[in-house]
Amino acid sequence: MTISLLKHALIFFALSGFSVNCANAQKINLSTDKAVLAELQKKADEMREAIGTTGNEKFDAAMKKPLDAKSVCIKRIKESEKIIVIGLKEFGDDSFSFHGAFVDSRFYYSDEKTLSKNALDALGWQKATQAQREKLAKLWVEKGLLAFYTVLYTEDVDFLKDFQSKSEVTYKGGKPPSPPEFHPPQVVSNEGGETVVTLWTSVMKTKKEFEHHQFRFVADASLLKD
Amino acid sequence: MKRNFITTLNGKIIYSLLLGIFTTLIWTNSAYSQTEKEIIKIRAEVAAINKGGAKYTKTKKDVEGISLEGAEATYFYSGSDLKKITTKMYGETYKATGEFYYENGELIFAFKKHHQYDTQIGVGNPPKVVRSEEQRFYFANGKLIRLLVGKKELKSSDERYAELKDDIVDDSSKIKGSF
Repeated sequence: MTISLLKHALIFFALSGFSVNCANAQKINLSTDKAVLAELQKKADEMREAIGTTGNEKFDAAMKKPLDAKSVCIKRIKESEKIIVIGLKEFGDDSFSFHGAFVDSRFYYSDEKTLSKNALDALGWQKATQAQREKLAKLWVEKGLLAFYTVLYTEDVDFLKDFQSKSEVTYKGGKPPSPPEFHPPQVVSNEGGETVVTLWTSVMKTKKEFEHHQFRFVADASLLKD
Repeated sequence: MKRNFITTLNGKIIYSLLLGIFTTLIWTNSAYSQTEKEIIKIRAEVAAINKGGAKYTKTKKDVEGISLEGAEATYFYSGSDLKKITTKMYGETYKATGEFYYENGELIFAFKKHHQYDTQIGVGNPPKVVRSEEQRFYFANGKLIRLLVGKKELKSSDERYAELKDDIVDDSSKIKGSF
């Protein structure tokens, strides 16, 4: 009886997994940007359908408005055709922000915990040596997670100037911290089995500003924290 | 009898465990969709508010108590329904602009541009902007569901998250209350 129950339970479990992923099991042809846009539109339409209409004419019209190709940026990673990175324009911004990525034709939003793991798996993480994993992690950070930033490979002439002007404001009267040291993108593997990518990016606002980023991937390729 | 009881108990435990796993899988998937759904809704609402802008009643007012060097707000009403407030805020070491959007009187979206000066105003040379930051806040049912600083999404564990959230909620309520 217990064995029979276990059998049923295993079938139930297998079906559960299938039902959760069945929508993604179908391979969609995303070889053209038009197809990617159409798939994004489909996802947006599904959401809009779930929201429904409100009777407010302007709101309903805004909800029906199709995705504007100009507000979407599609970036393909040449190292893997399985990954397509999507950027969207945020309110009041002319540049793009990371919205998510298609991995193996399934779309993951930027804040989905499994995004990085699936992307790195698609890049070959599971069979890679630690040295190869370091390269894959760097690739995914530069071309995926930070695809809409300018990653710095050499020190920018304004790098220290930006820090000095900021520290004058923040630490007026106190002892300013030591200026940061520029480094090109770096990857290290630590004793805990983590692969850590650190790098600097720049962004042009009223003037050039710089930001330091750190991404930690655990052994199974999941992103711990940025 | 005892054996039957154990078998039934085992079955119940296994089914409960599997049901739990199944529910968790479904929930994890839908939680992201839910946030995204809310964001789509907020964006549509903001677009609708901006589209109707010309028909709203506009009122400009000075607002006390939100920044040391003063603040000015423009209120956009549709009848008695507050739709939007735009603000200019001036501090001793910064200037900022804000756009606040409301649905049924509740804040749903705020966009703030903060410009930090290199020095205090009125001390020596005219101040220069040394740092600019754009902050975007998405609210659903009074809860902050997404906070973007520049291109970066801040997690609730980030040390600045609570401070920025409290500031924008405070600004909104003070500006709204000043009308």
